[in-house]
Amino acid sequence: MCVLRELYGAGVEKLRIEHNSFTTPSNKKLEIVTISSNYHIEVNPSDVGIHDRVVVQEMIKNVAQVNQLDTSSQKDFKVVVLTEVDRLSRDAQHALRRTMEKYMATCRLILVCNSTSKVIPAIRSRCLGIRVAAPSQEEIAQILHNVCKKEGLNLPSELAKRIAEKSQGNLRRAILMCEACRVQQYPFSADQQVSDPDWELFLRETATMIVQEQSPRRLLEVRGRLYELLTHCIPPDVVMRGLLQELLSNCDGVLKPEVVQSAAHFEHRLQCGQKAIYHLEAFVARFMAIYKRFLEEGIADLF
Amino acid sequence: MFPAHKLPTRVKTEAQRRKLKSALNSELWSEKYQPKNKEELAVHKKKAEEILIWLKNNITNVAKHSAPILLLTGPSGIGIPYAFYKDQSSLHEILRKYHFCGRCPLVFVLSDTSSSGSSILRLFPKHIMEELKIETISMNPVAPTMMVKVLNRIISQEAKMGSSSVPSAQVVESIAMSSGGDVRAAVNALQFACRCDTADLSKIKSLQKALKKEPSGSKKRLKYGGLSQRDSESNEQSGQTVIIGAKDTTCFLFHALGKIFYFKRADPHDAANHPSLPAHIKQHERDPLMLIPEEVVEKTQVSGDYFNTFLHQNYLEFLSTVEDVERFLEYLSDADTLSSQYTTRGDLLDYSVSVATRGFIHSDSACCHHGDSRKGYGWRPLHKSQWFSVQKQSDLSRSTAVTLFQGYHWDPEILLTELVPFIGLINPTLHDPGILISMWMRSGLERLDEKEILEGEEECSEVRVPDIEQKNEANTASALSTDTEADSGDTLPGSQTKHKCCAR
Repeated sequence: MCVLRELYGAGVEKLRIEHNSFTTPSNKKLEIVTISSNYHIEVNPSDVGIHDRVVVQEMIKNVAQVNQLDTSSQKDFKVVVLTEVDRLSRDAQHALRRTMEKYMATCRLILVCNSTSKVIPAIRSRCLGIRVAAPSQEEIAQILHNVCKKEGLNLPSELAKRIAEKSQGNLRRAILMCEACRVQQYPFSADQQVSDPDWELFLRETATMIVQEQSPRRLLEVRGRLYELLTHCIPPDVVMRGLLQELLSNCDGVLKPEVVQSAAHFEHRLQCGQKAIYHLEAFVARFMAIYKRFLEEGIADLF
Repeated sequence: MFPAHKLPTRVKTEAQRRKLKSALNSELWSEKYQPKNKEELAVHKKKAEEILIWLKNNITNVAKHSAPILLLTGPSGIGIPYAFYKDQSSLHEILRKYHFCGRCPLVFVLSDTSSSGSSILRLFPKHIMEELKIETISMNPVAPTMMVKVLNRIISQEAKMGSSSVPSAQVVESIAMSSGGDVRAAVNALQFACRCDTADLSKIKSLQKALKKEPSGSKKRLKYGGLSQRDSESNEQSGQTVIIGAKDTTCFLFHALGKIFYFKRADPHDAANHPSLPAHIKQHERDPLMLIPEEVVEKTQVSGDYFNTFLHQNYLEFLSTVEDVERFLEYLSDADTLSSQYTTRGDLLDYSVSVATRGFIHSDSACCHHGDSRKGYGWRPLHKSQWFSVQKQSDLSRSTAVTLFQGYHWDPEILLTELVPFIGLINPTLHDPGILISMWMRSGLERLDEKEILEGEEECSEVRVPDIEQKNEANTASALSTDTEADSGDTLPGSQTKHKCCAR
């Protein structure tokens, strides 16, 4: 946004939300929501899943075909902001490659993604890569102070530091946590509790359950909890990752390589397969088996 | 209800048929020996009584109340005539009208094999059933002993009229068993067997001689599908009876799961070429199986994927150690990966289910060998797969959340893992309908029930799950604390218990 304002002036802040519809070659109607001003358009093509190719092509074509009216006072191009480019399908990325060159004269692209590893090299070579690093803890703490100042709140610096630590470099999270803290208790105290989202607590409890007992019955309970997480739209790979972290912090160092390896194995399966629950459960069972064996050996060593 | 112009042709064909038959002097026995009174019915007496009582009750009441409607369901060919299908909405209209102005009870008869099982639901959806107070009595397949009785009656009547050949008791028995409870099919097969003076029958007869040592008159209980569990000799026999009109027995999902979960192993000494494994993988050696898992799954008429979800839902009750569970889940994970690719899905689905079922059987270390007794494996209730409902629910909440926060362009993952939970913390009073209800609701297990019509996400074929052993149900159900009361709405408690009486 800031970049766009530099380019075009305050006009870009007049935003409007639009529903655009496209038709695929197979006559399926697609609806997608875009945010746009007179000068730019922001879209997340991966919202439409596998039909993203059509959206990318059509959208850019539409934008690029209209020239700016008054080129003397403004830049002679528009900007298309595509978010989550790493989630685009292969097809869409290849389509993008061609499209971005064709409409070079009237339209510039800003591609936003978390990691370039899933962006095809052809696109990477056509773009200027700018890495935006996660803010450091000091920076986060500073931003939190700024936010609180604007809100007229008094934030103790210890609390700011703790929030910054807990947010793991995620600024959005940090600000949300800060807001949650304010609701819990104001005026702030330096040692007040910073709460995590409830699903993380839930996941932590689940991990503890797994470590406590290794039996089919316990696995059944764990399955119930996994299902609950999935029902609340926590993506399976996030569940897997969270579970691994919690389990690792609970188990002996000797086991860690094996546990991580099995997690990687089932995480891969999870990406390939369809029914995430099988793989999550398989990972839990594998961990249980590894951990149980370890405990039994430990007992055997004692005697 | 027939269009008028159709009637003459119908009559004509009827006449033609009769002519043809008289020319051949061989009326179909299934028509010739239609039951003429209550005693001749092959249906269990109590079932017949139940219907009679219903009729009597309602005939006396009919003047006072609106016309009652009864729905009779049962497998095809057990001696119930057919109703015909109509455009369903108009049927419902007619039913409503009839309900208010009709003067005599109306009986609908439907057959409910698994392929047409959906028709009951389509023709008589629940709301109609409740609105019009339709009662349902469901019939079981005819018991084999009963079937033998019916067949013998026909044989004796035929013999009086001087029939040429009388089949032996063995043949009758095998016909009865291969019919799978279908009287019509059995009678047809019998007629064929009696007429057939070719090699087919003599072969069977010669086989019978070989089987003579087995006491045929003993009081052993006849059971459909029990043939495969007998020794190899009678397996051969069952192979023979297929020639005289056996039905391809279909297997309901519930039974199929049971067959997999309660698998049995044969004695390795009986099998001639059972391979044995070298010492270093000796722990993987298993005695031969008594069933072929692929066949079992094939008979259920559900897709392999769907079957796997049920396997997954229920397996934990049957494996006793974590190591077994781990092994099975590895197989299941393999199976899922196998069938996930869209392009190869059609070919690999069969392998996938094979990996899963055999994976389960192999993983069960408590039952590796013939004599192994499976301790504590009493009857367990089976549950419906939760996966589909979980997925549906999660899709729903996801789309609600996305529409609520439309226009912010947040990645749904971030939205749901970060924003929504924190919004719940920041503003506890904000309980938006849909996603923001951050109560961790407990979703109870749904019981896989009798007469349950299951609809999977991707399944168009629906499954009927027939009678289950309900004796042990009470105690195991309480142990698992499932809320069966809540979803027993679609079961038919009254007829279910009566079911039991008839089955016993």
